[in-house]
Amino acid sequence: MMKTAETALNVLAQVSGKTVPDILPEMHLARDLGIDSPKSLELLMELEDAFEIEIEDVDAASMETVGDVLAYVGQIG
Amino acid sequence: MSARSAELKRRLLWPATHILRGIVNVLGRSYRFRILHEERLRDLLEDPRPVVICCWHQQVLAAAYFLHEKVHKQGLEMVLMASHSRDGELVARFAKLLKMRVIRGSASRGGQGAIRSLNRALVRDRVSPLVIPDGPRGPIFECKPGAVLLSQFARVEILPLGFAASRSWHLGSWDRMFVPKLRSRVTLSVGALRTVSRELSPEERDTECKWLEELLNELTREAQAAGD
Repeated sequence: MMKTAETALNVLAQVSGKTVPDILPEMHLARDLGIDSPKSLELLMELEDAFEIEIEDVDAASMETVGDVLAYVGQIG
Repeated sequence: MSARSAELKRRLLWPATHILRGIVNVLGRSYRFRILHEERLRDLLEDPRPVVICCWHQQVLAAAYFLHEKVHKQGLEMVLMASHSRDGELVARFAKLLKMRVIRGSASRGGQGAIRSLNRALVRDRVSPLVIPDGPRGPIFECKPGAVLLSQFARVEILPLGFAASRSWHLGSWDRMFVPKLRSRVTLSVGALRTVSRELSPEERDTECKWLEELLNELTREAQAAGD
C-alpha cells in the first residue's frame, strides 16, 4: 500500500514538476498542481504505465484531487 | 431533434456509407499519385513496425484513401479514430467497410480515453494510428499534443505526411478540407521518421509539437509546389 502511494506520488511529482513532499492529498490536480488537460492525459498514461492497468474514463473523470488518485491506485494496488 | 428524425438519420447512415464508398472508389482510382521522398515510406513498408501517422485535417480524405491503398493493404495495419458524432459514425462505418480498425473518441470529447486506447493498440496490437494533430475542430494547422504523447508513451516513431492535389474542391468546413477532383494528380511528401524521447518535460513536448506543426506545413508546401 505504501509502495503504491509512493509510486503514484512520484508520478504526480513528475507530471506536475513539484517535489513529492510538496504534494498533499487535499490538493486539487488542476488548481494546485497545474495539471491541465494535456498534463492530465500524461498523468493517466503514466499511471497506466507504472501500475500496468487500464483506467476507465469514468474513473479518470472522478479524479480531481491527489487524494482521489491515491484512493484509486490504493484500490487496484 | 425528434425521435422520428433521429431514427431516419440513423437509417440513412447505411446507404450514405455505401454511397460514400462508391464515390471514394471512383475518385480514388482515377488519382495519379506522386510520392516525394518515397524511399522513407518504402523503408517502413519493407520493415513494418507501428508508427504514429500524422497529417492535417484538411488532407484527411486524400490521406485516408492513399494510406488504405498503399500502406494498410501493403502490410502496415492501421487504426483510425472517429468521433462520437453522427459524422464520426459515418467515418467509423466507412472504415469498417474498408476492414480498418476504429477507435471512437476525439480530442474534445472522450479524447483522453481515445488517446489511451490508441496507445494500447499501438503497444499491444502493433497497429499504426492515423492521428490528425489539428482535429477534430482546429484551429487549422495548429498541433495538439496527442501525436507526440502517443509517440512518447508507446515508444514509436512519428511519420509526418503532407498532401496536395493538382485540382480539388474545397469544402466550407473550418479546415477548408480538400477533395481531389477526378483524374487529378495527388502529391504526397513523406517526412523523415522522428523518434520522441520517453522522458520529455512539458516544455520539450511543446517543442516537439511545434516541430511537428512546422514539418507538416513544410511537407504540405513541398507537395503543393511539386504539384504545380
